[in-house]
Formats: sequence, C-alpha cells, structure tokens
Amino acid sequence: MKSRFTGILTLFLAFMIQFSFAQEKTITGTVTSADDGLPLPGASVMVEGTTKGTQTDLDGKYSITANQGENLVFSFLGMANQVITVGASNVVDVLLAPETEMIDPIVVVAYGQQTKSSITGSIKEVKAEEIQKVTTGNVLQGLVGKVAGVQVVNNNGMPGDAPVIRFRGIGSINASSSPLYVVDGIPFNGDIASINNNDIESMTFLKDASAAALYGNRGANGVIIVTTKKGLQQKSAITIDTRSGFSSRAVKDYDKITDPAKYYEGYFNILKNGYMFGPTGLSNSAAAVEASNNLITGPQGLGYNIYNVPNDQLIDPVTGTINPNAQILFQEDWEDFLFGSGLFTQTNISVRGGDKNTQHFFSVGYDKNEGYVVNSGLEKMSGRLNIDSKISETFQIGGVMSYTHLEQNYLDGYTGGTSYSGPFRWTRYTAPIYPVHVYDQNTGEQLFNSVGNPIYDDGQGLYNGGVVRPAGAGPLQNPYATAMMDIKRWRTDNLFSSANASVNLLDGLKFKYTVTGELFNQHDTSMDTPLIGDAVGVNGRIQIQSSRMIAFTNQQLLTYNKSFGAHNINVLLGHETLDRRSDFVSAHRTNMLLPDTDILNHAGVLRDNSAGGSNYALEGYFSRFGYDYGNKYYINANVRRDGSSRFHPDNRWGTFYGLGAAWRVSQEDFMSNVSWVNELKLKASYGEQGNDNLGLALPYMDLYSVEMTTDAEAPLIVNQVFKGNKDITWETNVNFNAGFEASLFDGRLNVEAEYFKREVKDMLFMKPLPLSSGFSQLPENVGDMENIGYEVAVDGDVIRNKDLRVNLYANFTKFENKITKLPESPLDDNAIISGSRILREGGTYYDYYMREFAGVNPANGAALFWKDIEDADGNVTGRELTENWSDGTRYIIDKKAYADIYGGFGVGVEYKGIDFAAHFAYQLGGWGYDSGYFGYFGGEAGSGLHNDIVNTWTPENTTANLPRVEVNDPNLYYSTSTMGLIKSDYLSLQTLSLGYTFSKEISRSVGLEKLRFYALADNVALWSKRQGYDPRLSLTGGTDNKYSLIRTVSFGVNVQF
Amino acid sequence: MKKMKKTSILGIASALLLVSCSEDFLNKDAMNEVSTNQIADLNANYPELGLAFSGNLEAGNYFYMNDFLVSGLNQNLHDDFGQKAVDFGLDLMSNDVTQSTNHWMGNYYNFTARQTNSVRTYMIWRFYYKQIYNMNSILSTIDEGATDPGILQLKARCLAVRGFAYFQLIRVYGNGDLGIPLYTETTTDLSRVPTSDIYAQIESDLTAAHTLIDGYTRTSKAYLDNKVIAGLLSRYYLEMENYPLAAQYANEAKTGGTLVSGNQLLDGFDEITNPEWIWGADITSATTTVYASFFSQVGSLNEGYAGLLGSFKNIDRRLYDAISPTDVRKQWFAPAGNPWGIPQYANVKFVDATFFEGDYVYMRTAEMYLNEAEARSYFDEAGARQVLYDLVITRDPSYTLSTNSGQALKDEIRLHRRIELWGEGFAFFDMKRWGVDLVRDYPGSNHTDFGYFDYPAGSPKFIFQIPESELNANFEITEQNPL
Repeated sequence: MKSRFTGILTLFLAFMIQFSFAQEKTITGTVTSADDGLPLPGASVMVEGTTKGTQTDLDGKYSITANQGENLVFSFLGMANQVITVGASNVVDVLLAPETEMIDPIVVVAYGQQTKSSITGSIKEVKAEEIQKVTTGNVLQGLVGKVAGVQVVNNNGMPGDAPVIRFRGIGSINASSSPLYVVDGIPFNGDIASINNNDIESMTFLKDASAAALYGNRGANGVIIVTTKKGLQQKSAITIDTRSGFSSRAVKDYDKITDPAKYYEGYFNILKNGYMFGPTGLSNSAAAVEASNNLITGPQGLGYNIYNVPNDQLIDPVTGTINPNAQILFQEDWEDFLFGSGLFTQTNISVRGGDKNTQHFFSVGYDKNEGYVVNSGLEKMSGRLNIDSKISETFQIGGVMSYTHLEQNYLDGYTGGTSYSGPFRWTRYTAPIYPVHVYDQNTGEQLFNSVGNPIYDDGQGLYNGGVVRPAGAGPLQNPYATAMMDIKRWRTDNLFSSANASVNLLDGLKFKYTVTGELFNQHDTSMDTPLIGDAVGVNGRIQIQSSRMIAFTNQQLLTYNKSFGAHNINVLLGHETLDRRSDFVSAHRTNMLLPDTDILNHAGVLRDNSAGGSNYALEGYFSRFGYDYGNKYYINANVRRDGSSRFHPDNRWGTFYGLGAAWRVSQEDFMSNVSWVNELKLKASYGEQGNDNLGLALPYMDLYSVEMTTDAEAPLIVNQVFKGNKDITWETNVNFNAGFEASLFDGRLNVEAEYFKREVKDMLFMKPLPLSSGFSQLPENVGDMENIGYEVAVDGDVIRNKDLRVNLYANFTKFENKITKLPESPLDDNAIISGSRILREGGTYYDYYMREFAGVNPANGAALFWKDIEDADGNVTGRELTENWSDGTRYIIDKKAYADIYGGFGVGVEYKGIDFAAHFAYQLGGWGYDSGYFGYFGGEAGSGLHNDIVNTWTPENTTANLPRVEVNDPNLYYSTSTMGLIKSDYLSLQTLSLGYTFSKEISRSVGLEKLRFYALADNVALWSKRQGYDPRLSLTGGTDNKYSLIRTVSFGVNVQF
Repeated sequence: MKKMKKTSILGIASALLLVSCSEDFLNKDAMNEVSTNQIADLNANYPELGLAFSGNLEAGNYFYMNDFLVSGLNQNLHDDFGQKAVDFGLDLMSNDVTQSTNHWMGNYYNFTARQTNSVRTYMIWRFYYKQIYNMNSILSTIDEGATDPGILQLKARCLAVRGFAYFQLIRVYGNGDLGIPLYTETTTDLSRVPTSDIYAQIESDLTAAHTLIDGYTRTSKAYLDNKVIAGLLSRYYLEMENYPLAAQYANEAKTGGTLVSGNQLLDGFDEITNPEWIWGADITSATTTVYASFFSQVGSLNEGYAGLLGSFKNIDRRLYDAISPTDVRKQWFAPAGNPWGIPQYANVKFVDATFFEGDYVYMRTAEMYLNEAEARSYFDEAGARQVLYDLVITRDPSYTLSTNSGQALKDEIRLHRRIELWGEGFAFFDMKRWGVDLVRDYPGSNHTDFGYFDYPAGSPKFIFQIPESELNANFEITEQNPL
C-alpha cells in the first residue's frame, strides 16, 4: 500500500539543500518499475543536495541537468529510492524496485487502520495479490498454510464449502471455536463464499487480545477482517481477469482392489476363513472347497459372476486362484461414470477510479466450478459497488453494496456418512464386480429397455434373472443413476449493504455512523427420483427448505487523533448493536406425478412440514486508547462491554479488555550504527475476550418441542428437549502474546516470532449430567483449557537484482493443548469418557481411549488385545493378552488426535516478465483414526477389498501383520483399537502458479495498460502416511466417505485498460 | 463557528447515548421450541390451559416411545427407534432369534450392545429414564389432594408408565440386589438403589395406577387404561413369582382384546386395529421413522435392512422345528424354497403393508393368556391347561387339551409363549426368569458366525453395563456391572 508517509519522506529529502558547482550536462533516461516492467510516470528525480529536480513524464522519461560526480536521487511513492552517481554517460535508465522497508504500511485493524509499526498485537495481513491466486469458491479454502498460527481445514472438496478455521489451538470444548468475520468494518453474519475473491483488497488475521479484544464479544477465537477494494483517485481503470480450466479429483482413493480376479480370490479367502474358524470348523482343504462352491450363490455369496465359467469353477480351491480359462464377460468402473473432469471458469471485470472527491470501485464476477463428480458444482454471480465521497471538507459519505447469487448442486453423502446412495462411499467400498448397467449374467450382453435405453442396475435382480447384489453392495441403489436423476440444489442470495456518514468535528475528532443490512436467503430443493433408489417405495420424494437471515448492524464511532510534539494519541469510542433473525420453512412430500420435477406441488402425499427460526441480539460499548512516543514506544489499550441475548438478563453483560505495548528498538540512537537491522520491534500484549456461542440460541431456558402428527384426534403433543441453566454466561479467553518483528539486511530477511498462551476459562460447557436424570448434559460455565505455543514466520529475498528476484518464505506453528480443569466427576482426573475419546485434567482436548492392539497370533490369525488382570477387590495387578476384543480393556492412549505442528512454506520467483510461485502446507505430530481403511476388512459380502488383504493372516500367510478377515467380522478384530491409528502428518503442494506479464511497450501497442497470461493449479500433490488417507480433511485426522478435495488447473489472462 | 462545533460535539455525544438500546432489545424468545418463560406465562395468564399442557406432555411421551433417536445422540443410528428397538434388540440376545448378517442391531446379537461404551446401552438407559423424567415432571404438578377424576386418571397413567419404565430398566441392569437410581416426583436417589426397592416402587406405582384409573375410557390404544395396567401388573407378578396375582391380573387384562384365529394371524402385526392388541402405537406418515424402524429391521418382505439388504431376522431352528405343522404360527416363518425367495427360517410374522407406516404392538391379549396359563401352572394346573387350550386352539385347529402336568406342563406353556411372542420383546427376559442357558452352538444350528457362542444361565453377559455417560457424572454409583 502506498502511503502518505513516503510522500512526506520524499519532501523531506527534497529540502535537504546543498550547493555545489561543477560542469553541468543534460542527463536523460527512463524510470521503470521493477515490479511490472512498466514506465513510471511522475517519479521524482533530484540532484542530491540541491533544489534541482524534475518529474518523469507519462512514459517515464526525464531530463535533468547535473554535474559529473553528483548523485541523482530517483524516488517514487512505494518504491525504494535509488541513488546513481553521474558518470560519463548522458543516459541513465533506472529500475525502481518496490519499497520493502522504508514505508510503514497501513494495516486494517479493529474499527480502523493503523500503521504496521504501531501495532502491539499479533496481526497478519494477506494481500490482494495472494488472494487473486485463489481459485476456490470460498476464499478461505485457498489459504491453507498461509498464515502462521491459523489452521485452515477443508471439510471436503465440494466447491464453495466453508472450511474449519482454528486460531492457535482449540478455543473451546463445546462452544464455538470459529473465528469472527468482519467485512469492511462490520461483523459479518453471512457466508464468506459470497465475497468475490477478486474484490478483496486484504484479509487481516487478528490473533491476540490486543488486536482482537475490541471485538471482545466474539473475538475469542480470532478475527478475520476482510476489506474489499475501494475506489482510487485515478483515471478509471478497467481490469478484466478471466481463467478457465478443469477440476479433477486431487487425491487418489485408497489402494483398493480393482481387478475382479483379485477380488474374487480375496473374497474366497475370507469365505474360507469363515468355514475354517466359524461354526462349521472345516479343515483347510474342506473349507477351500466349500468356499469355492459357495463363492457366488452361497448364503454369503457375491451373487454376480462376471466371468464365463460356472460359479463353482471360478476359484480353484487348491490354489485359491482364478480359473485360468475365465474370461470377463462384462465389467464397468463406477468411477468412470461418477467422476471425471469438470469445467472451471472464473471471470471478473472491475472498474476502479475516481477524482479528488469521489472514488468508486465496481465489479462483476462469474464463477463456475463443476467439481469432479457428475451433476455437482458451484455457480456464482456477484456484483459490487463501493463508493466514497467527500461532500465537504468536514462531511464524507460512503457505501458498500454487494450481491451474490450462488447455485450449488450437491450430492447425497458429500459431507460423508455411510449411506449407500453416496457416490463417495459407493466408489470406495463396492466390489469391482458390480456394473452400473444391467447385463445378462450368462451371455454378458448388455440389456436395454423397450425404448432402447440402457437399464441401470439397482442390484435387485429385476432384469437379470433374479441375480441380486448382497448387502455389502447396496441393493436398491445405483448412485450413478440417482446422481443423474435426483435434483439437489441450494440457491443462495446474499445481499450486503452498508452506508456510512462521517463528520470531522474538530481537528482530529471525527464521528462516523454506519448502518449495515445483510440479507441471506437460501432455498434448498432435494428431489429423490421415483425411478431408482431408495425413494422408489414412496414413488419419489421432494423436500424443500427456504431460509432467510436478516441482520442489522448499527455502529457509531468517535475517533480522536492528535500529536503533541513527539507524543501521538488516538482515541476511539464506539457503540454497536446487532439484531439478527433467521427464519425457515420446510416441507416434505412423496408420491410424484412427474419423475423429473422438483416442484413440491407435483407430489401428492404430505410427509412433514415445519417452520421456525432463531433470534440473536448483541449490544456493545467499546473504547480504544493508543499512545506512542516518537514512533518508538507504543501503548495500546482497549475495553469493551457487551450484552448478549443468549444469556439471562442477570448474566448478560461481560467486560473484556486488551493491553499491548511495543518498542521499536531499531529507532533508538544506539541502533543507528547497526546498519543491517532495518527494523526491530519487541511487543507484548495481554487481555480477555468473550465467547457467547454454544451453538444454542437460548441455553438458559428449558425448551419443549411441539411434534407434528397427522392424527386430527391426537392432542397437541409436547416433549421437553432441552434443559437450560439460568446461570450460564460468557466464556472468557485470556490471551498473552509476546514476540518480535525484525527486518534485516535491507529488508531482504524478515522474521516474526511470537509466543502465545491462550487460556480459556469458565468454558461454555455441556456439563455431563447423570444420564438417569433424563438429560445427558446441562450448559454450565465450567472447565479451563490452555493452548501454549509459538509461531515463526520468515521470508527472505535470497536473490534480488534487476532481473531476478527469488523469495522464500515459511511459517511454523507449534502448540500444546492442555485441559486444566473440568467439572467434578467421579472418575480420576475428573475424566469424561465418550466412546473412543477421553477428556481429563492434564490431558489434551482429544486423547484416545480405546483397546490396545498387541499384534497377531501367528497360530490362528487372531488379533491380540491387552486386558487388565484384577484381583478380588478389583485392583489392577497386571495385564495379559486376549483374543476376544470384547474382553479387552480400554486404555488412555498416549497419542493425540490433533497435529501440534503446522504451517506452510513456498517460493516466489520473478524473472523479467515471468513470475512463478509454489506454496506448500504441512502438519506434524498428530494421530488419526483411519476408519476408512479399516472399512475394507469387515468381510461383508459384496464390499470392496483393499490390496492389503494380502497382508492379512491366512493359513498360508501366518506371518501377516493384520489379523484374519472373516465374513461378518465375527471376532471384531477390526473393531476400534489402536490398530486403526495412523500418523496424520502430511505435506501438500497446495498451489502452483506461473505467469508472464508483457512489457508496457507491447501491451500499449495493443492498446492496453497491462497484459498478463498465467496458469494456476491447486491441490497439486499430497504426501501422507497412506494412499487415500487425506489428513487435511479433518482437524483430528479422522476419515469419512466425503467429497475428496478437487484439483483445479486453469489458464487465465488479465488485462487492464 | 466554534460554538457550532461545540454544539455538534454535544449532539454526537447525546446521539451515542440515545442509540443505546433498551434492555428489551436483548430479550429474545425461542422460535423453534417453546421455552419455560412461555409456559410460565401460559400458566399465569391462562391457568385453565395448564392441565392441557400436562396432557400434551403425556401425549408427547407416547410419541417419544416410538421416535427416532430416543437416545438423543446426534448420530444417524438406524437401530435407535424406541420401544420396539429395545424389544427386538433384547430378543436378539435370546436363543430364539438369529440375525443373518452383521448389520444394524448386530450389536445385540453379538452382545456388544451391553458394553458400557455402546450407544445401545446408552439408548436403553436414556430411553426409560427420559420417560421417568417426563412422568415425574407431570406428577410433580399434581396436588397431593387432587380429586378431579380427570387429573387422577392422568396421574394413574403417569404412574403406570413410570412403573413400566422401571420394570424394563431393572430387568436389563439389575445385578443381584445392585439396582438402579430411583427418581420419583418427590425423591431422587442416584445410588444403585437395591433391586428390591425398585421392585417395591414398581408395585406401588402400578397398583396405585390400577386404582386411580377407575372410570377412564381411552380414545386411542396408545394410552394406558385399566386393562393395560392390569397387563403390566401381571407381567410384574410373574417376574416376582407371585403367581396368584399374576393370574388374577392377566385374567383381567386378557379381556382388553379378543383372540383372532386362522388367517387373521397372518395379518403382519402392523395394524393397531387388530382386536388382539391392547396397547400399541399408531404409526402414520408423520410419525414414521422410515428406515430406522421396526419393520425396516425385521420385516423380511419390506424394503428395509431385513428385506432389502438381507439382514434377515430368523427364528431359531430348534424352535421352528418344535412348532406343529398344523399350527398357523408355523407360517410366520419361511420354509425352505419359499415363494418370496428369502432364506429358510426368516420371519414373515411382521409384514408392513405400507411404506414403513406399520403400527407397533406393545401388549396383546395372547400374552395375557400365556401369563395366566404360566401363573396357574404353579397352583391350578387344570386352569392352566384350559387357558392354554383357549389360546392355542385359535392357532392350531388340531390342538387338544394338554394332558401334561408339572414341569412338562410348564415347558409346554413356555414353548407356546416362545412361539406366540416371538420377536415381541419377551424372549430375553423369559430366559433370565426361567434360568435358561444361551445355546447357539448346537448340531444343525442356524445361528450365524458373528454371534456363535454360548453363555450359561446366570452369566453376567445377560446384564447390561451402565452407560459410561452415567458414570461420568454420577458420584453415587461406585459399582459397575461386569464386562
């Protein structure tokens, strides 16, 4: 950002007058920007120590008289000055590189802006240039690994879906750990996906109390401030940016068996194990014969034989391998049908300009991303108008208005789950012997219906002579057919409209009033086709839901800035209210007249309807006081008092504060000789912030639901569904932050390092109640937790010269999470056990609690688990091994689910007009439970197998490290135990970009100010501990059958005129 | 000019104050549910509607009995659908029912449902204690000295439901005299209240209910009336081995319906209008839980987990073989080579003629005949034979009056009880009551591999562990049931 300060500096230099007398000559030349190779009009050229000076013309050309030996000083706003001594040549061309150190950038902070040097807290800004490279529908999806201390976890690859964001560890156990979003100064209630990436000027991440406490009410989990582009005082410039490409699946699925022969062989062994070790107890050879005979038609048979040999001759019971004469009759790969490349395109047009009094920014955008799954994707249309206008010397008005329309086609199961109708579960776990379409089982010929169309196979045997798919292959379902025929769509309208007026009351005293209205409408249509799948029984199902959120924010800010000599103060007083209301109405009917409509009125049977919503109101008073002395010592204090509708009137108000101090050591006299230190700042802050979000509108009241019946005779029926607690109030986050910022070696090396201690106190906690009380939990302010860690961000220009600049950067965050206090419980360390996880004092937010796998018994392939030995009094005296999972003892496992180290790194290269960037992200130190992988070992007929099936124990493979697999997993060997834990470490190549910007001469020759071509790719590569295991999709490294991340490769052009 | 500025500063300062909102701004009420505040306002402003609210809560409890996710867990558990899920789940832990593949409900068949961390033990525990909470919250609003018959009848039904809930719980969780926590409208004891005290509470609730219900005529079989309460008392006294009272109450309850015969027995047990039904639930398009429902899990001919995904719920071969070929009830189970193409022994007792709107049965007249016959076999064998005959002759036209006596008579009654009530939630409790071993490993067994084991009578495996969520917060329970 170009700032006034450099201008002042330039003027200052201009007045450093000295006289000298020597031989004058006329020097000419061109001043060009090293940034983009364009000439710089209006650059200042001064003869050092004189008043002689000129400016470059529109083409960057200048002419000046100077003596040989004199120094010419070239300067331009935002660029580093260059000094060149006049030599023999009369031509001096100069390349000015962007200012890296001298200017003090302005950073957007809570309710205002500050110079970067005056910030006492922890702030990271991501600028438009970075954001422009993001191709995802939700800008945050593209910021993985970009900001130290901020973890971005993409839930799934569905275009536009919101990721999970965590600042510096885990903020709370039951209450929200999500940050607050602020858009153009207004706490934001809508969907970030509604903001066009190209409209974003900057995103500021506020990580500590000094920075965020001003949003005290909701700043406890960090604040992300999105600032959109504003008009500029310049001739209107039109920018067009358009890119197109393809989306595809970024990460390969598990290494599952895709070869039907290998599948039949694998399942043969599973059956055989069943006959050997199950009720029948056959010998190895007898079991093999039995398994071979029952492979297709037995009670646990596969149903489908896609080879041309008889069912009982498919597998040779002696060798356990497929009949060498067997030829495949028919086979189809579901992935070929369901997954592929989707079209991606993104176009933005913006106009930015203005005059002295009024500046405008206008943009329209269009995005389309089809994803990689049929009939899914995102379409987004957006428009924005930002205006600022000075009515008089004392009165200004401004406004922001944006509208976005989003259409998302989604699919069953895109967020995960075990439903057979979801394409992600289906392609993962359906054996490669079941085709998409119906084939004659004997001849292998495809079957067609009366009008000649292929018939989709729903596994019920309706067309192929009664051959049905077993349970593991989801009879009734055909996810390809339903993906094509179902209609599942969200249509969303986002309107953000904000107007402000400000008055300069006195010198330095300013009042600003902002009114903002946000409207968020979403209409969800879900039609399940009556033709195939699980809605056949009701002849089709249509569900609609319309929801509407409207939020009004009123904000009054009074600011005062004054300098007295070296003393600078700034004061802010403010008041803010939010009134938000959400309503929804939904309806569900079945029995459709037309098979391909999503109109509710076209269906005949009412199933359900409902309407309701939620209300939320907040009010806050706040103040900030900033003081600095000589741009050396800074103090920043703020306080805020908030009331929330979520709490009882007696417990509604909370007070929060932040204090920060900074010392710019580099400004001290004793540092003036240390030339390699350009900037060194030490800083520390402390404060408290609040959290009122337990995910409940009214946690302080008992709630009763009124249930719908269709029985006119039945009385109104009511059920108490929630037990509230009048005493519930704000959760408090206590934040301590200390660190330094340094810029060294002429700005070529920048280091920021911070230590943080985040303590959450009196957590908004769902305290366990004895379940026998009728309710399992009660909201209470109880429990403390802390996150202690540090983060480091380094960047440096390893090469910086006229033609080439190579920049490397990296960030690193490490934290430890510890629960320090929990509600009193009868268990040791006040533990709360919940399934395979345990919360306890001294433990972490996510400790595993499960059976401990101790290997495989080579004699029989049984899994071994540890079991405590107890004496008569129930005291544990030792432990022993058991082959019975049910008898195994559950232990606290010394492996935590969250990764305690995460970050990113990358490289940027600029060479003449070419630019290249690569960005990586990583995490280390966590363990995930890979249930996705273990889903391959359940032994269910028809369910897919992993290639690791060869590493499971069989009588022929007794040294295997995985236990025996049997039909139905009767022994529970693959039930939850430490066997399923896997390191969630990963390294991913998140983005690659390559661009070329034509020189000004060339672009001007075609009538353009700027012309740039580029290529972008995201989600390029992933290195994790197991193929198919993508630890990026969950904070805790867990797995699910969800929409895998997408890779988008696109080519674009950016023109400006 | 200076004055103007001062004025404007004042103006702004006052504006800042003025815009601060009244406290009302932050008072918001519930928009989906009804809040305590609203109920309090209702009671204060329209006291006559207060009783109606109690009635609404009572009706809500009947709805809850067959709702999806009675556990309150935020998981898509398709075997969590209230009373019938418990009934059938427990049957899967008996000798008489097998499950063909390890799918939903398989956790009962392989006995993992009873482990402390299982969501199934959580579901059962919570399901009945939530009903107890619901009933106590109504009972606590009823004055000790209330005389209005409508209120007394409401009180009777609440006491009876509470007694029913405790009766279910104590038979699942009671371990010797180590009982379960006891909550009434007036007292709370979080410890393992002795089993005998729980039984005393059940008796007191049910007998009080039986008296207070006098004069009540119900509008729907979902409600408890004097016959249902008598039926619950007969179950209770049978468990208590107080046979005369068990016979007396069964005799009263069996007039709550009339026996059907012949093809009427093949109606699929899906219609609450069936004259044999005394207590049940009317499932409609609004209350159906679709795939997470009894007929989805059990109905071999319905497109659910059993009929479609092939997780069939079958009769034990020994029991099947013991059914007389002339007995209509043999047709409740598929023979080999049946027309539906389902496995032998799969049940067709439960068939839903609709798309998962089949009704649920909680109590039938036939059970009362069996209760009475069993009770009488201890003190009136002739009477027992006659009651048994009255029932079985409607099932098997070639049945003749039994000539058995002593244990043989008891065994005959037990056999008919196992056949008649197959899949209705009695087999597990009966095995515990009769001290029968679990034997699945026998020659020709049709039990499946994932539950192919035996447990002797009295094994701790027949007692569920208390869910860990209880232990997380209950300081009074120091002893868990064995793993």
